[in-house]
Amino acid sequence: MAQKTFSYEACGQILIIHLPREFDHHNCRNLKYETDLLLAENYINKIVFDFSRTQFMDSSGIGILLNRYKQMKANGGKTTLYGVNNQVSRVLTVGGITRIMEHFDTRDEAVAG
Amino acid sequence: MAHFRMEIESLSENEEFARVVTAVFMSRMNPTLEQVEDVKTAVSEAVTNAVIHGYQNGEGVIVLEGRIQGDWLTVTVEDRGSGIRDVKRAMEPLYTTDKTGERSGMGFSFMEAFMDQVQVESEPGKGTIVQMKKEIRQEQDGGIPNAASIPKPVSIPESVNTSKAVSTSKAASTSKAASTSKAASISRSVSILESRLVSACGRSSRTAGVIQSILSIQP
Repeated sequence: MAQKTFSYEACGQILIIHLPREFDHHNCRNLKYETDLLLAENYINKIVFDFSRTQFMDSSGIGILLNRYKQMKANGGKTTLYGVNNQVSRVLTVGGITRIMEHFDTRDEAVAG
Repeated sequence: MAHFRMEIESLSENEEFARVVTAVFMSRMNPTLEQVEDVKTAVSEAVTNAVIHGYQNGEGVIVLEGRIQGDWLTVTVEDRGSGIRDVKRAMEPLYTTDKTGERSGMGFSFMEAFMDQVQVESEPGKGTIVQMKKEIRQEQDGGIPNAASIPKPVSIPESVNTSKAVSTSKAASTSKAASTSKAASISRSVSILESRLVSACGRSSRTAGVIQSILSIQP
């Protein structure tokens, strides 16, 4: 089945990454390449992960999130996320993400946070 | 006792397929939504490991097997690929042989967090079998429901070091290694009230009836 993967939105120095319905290894394969391109072409000091369409994630996504977090942190930037459901929340907790990235309920809060 | 066994191609597309098949199979146990999600996550980890590590993103066959005995669901993911030299090391949190820098090394930790028992047998050059079990207990009316637990997070330092420790093995010959772990020992810190609320939400979203009416699975 055709899966829409990631879509991106740049607002000033903020990059919003809209994650897919299934945030697994199969759908993660291009994310590093695509975000590296965007980060190289633009000055980005905040990455916002949009989980509002995500119904499932596993540890493949944890690796992705951690790498972007480290990249931002190295440049004094920030990483936030919003729109997580129960399954995603459990995975983020087990993966230790909830302790290092702030979670918001809405896009506006995540962009501003 | 219900049982299924299927062979699927080692393709990343089949990670989702394996999750869905397992979810449908276990639906006859009347699980909560959370239990289904937990099993799907564990299956996803095991199948992804087979695709990425077992077959190095190349061709191969992955065997997915499910078994229900009483309240116990057993899911087995098997590959005939490269195998693991040091299973104990491989199962350490954050350990990964991946060199791209994108893998978290948390696959086995996730399986252990979301299932009750995980057993891994592997032989370099022959393949790997991951067997996972989970108890799907029926909720007693008015009683304490099957704990909607938040598994203990994988301990991860602030500065995450993803340098790869390549597994070194003294034994030149192949040797079987097995490692079992009981995730039930992971501390559960959710209050009773919170767990009842979560279970109630899970039950109202259960899709068991719908799924079973669509597919008929051999008992």
